[in-house]
Amino acid sequence: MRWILTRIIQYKNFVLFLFLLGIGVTLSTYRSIYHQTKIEKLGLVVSGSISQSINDSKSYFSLKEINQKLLLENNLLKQELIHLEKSGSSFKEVEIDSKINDYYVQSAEVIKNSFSKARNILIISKGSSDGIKKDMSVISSEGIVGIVKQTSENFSSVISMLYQDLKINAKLNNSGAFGSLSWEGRNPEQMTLSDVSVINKIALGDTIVTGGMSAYFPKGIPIGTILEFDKPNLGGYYTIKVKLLNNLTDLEYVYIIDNKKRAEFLGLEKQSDDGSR
Amino acid sequence: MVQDNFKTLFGFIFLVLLQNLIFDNVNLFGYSCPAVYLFFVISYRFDKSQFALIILGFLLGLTVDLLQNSSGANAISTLFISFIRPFIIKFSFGVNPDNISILSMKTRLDKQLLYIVLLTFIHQFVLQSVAYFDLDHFVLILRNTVMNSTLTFILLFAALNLFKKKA
Repeated sequence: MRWILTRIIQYKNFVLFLFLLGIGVTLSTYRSIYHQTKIEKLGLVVSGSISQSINDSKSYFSLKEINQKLLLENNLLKQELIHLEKSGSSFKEVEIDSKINDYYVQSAEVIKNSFSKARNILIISKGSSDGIKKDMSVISSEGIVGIVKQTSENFSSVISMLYQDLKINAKLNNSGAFGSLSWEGRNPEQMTLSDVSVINKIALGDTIVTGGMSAYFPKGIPIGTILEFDKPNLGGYYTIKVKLLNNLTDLEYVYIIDNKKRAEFLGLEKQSDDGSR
Repeated sequence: MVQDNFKTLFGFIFLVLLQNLIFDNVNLFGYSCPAVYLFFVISYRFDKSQFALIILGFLLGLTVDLLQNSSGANAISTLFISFIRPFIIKFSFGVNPDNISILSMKTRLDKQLLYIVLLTFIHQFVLQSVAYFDLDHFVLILRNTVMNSTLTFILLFAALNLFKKKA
């Protein structure tokens, strides 16, 4: 007994190192989801409030750019409106009733953004008190941004598209072929679209949009264009490099989309899963 | 003694804030982000308890992790270099370093350089390996390691000269 104790005291640094290493590894491999979420929530509150104060002073300097972006978006919307009015008078009969609308949109400010790590997280200035919930989708005026990971009262963390383990359902706008979009961790402007079968014809510059085959993103939100692609000789699947439309490195404002039928969708999916077992 | 502990605590908080407020926003070339909080481990006195350093190093990394919203890579890598620091000290300064802290060390610049380079490089290598955790990304890990440790090294060396005790 004494011998064991002496050994432990002799090698106490090493024992401590192993012990703390164990804690560290546990933290990073997501063994205990409960503790992980609790601790992450604490981190979110602290880093959210710190980043908020920095961002408040920083955003003042980019007001001009933000205005320009808003103007551009307004122009586009106005164009669409005119188009609609021209194409038929039916536009006025469509009432935009939020009860009927499946998607509810609200805006938020990005107060912390990262894009240089393997798994990137954004923090936005709205939280559970504004009705933000986990798994809502986040887009910007130019394309998609990510998925809400966690909420505290006034802040939410968002898994960026630049997140190595994230796969997003996407499709080619022209042919309608589906694939899954992922990030390889090199360039914040490029993503990889895989699982598109070679029976589909694709060309450089084709647009990629969200596929809508999940409960996250609504269908048809533009993501990017095809930069280059590899066609394997023996058939199979393309490897497509996609250039993102939106610049994820200078996000200022984002929109959060709440899919009102999400619960229904998930319920049905679960039911059919249970049924097939 | 008490004053020393306060100094350590103050350094801890100051470095965490410095890292989170300023250096996490540095994205040189789009991906590199220096880890200036390593200054804590580097400037920790040689004669003080290593047991305490291991705990403090772990807490330091964990705090940075929480503020960066990353999953634990900083905690593991800072813990690792806190643990292997005595071996690096032995390797770079010999068995008996002629001073109790790198802050009051004046001679042997080459050995001081070796000490800092080893610590930053190993730290970054462990950090990036844990973050990517995939052999397919080995080139990427190496690139990030080299970039980040170069940047961190420059900053730490500058800071060290700034805080050196004048005789």
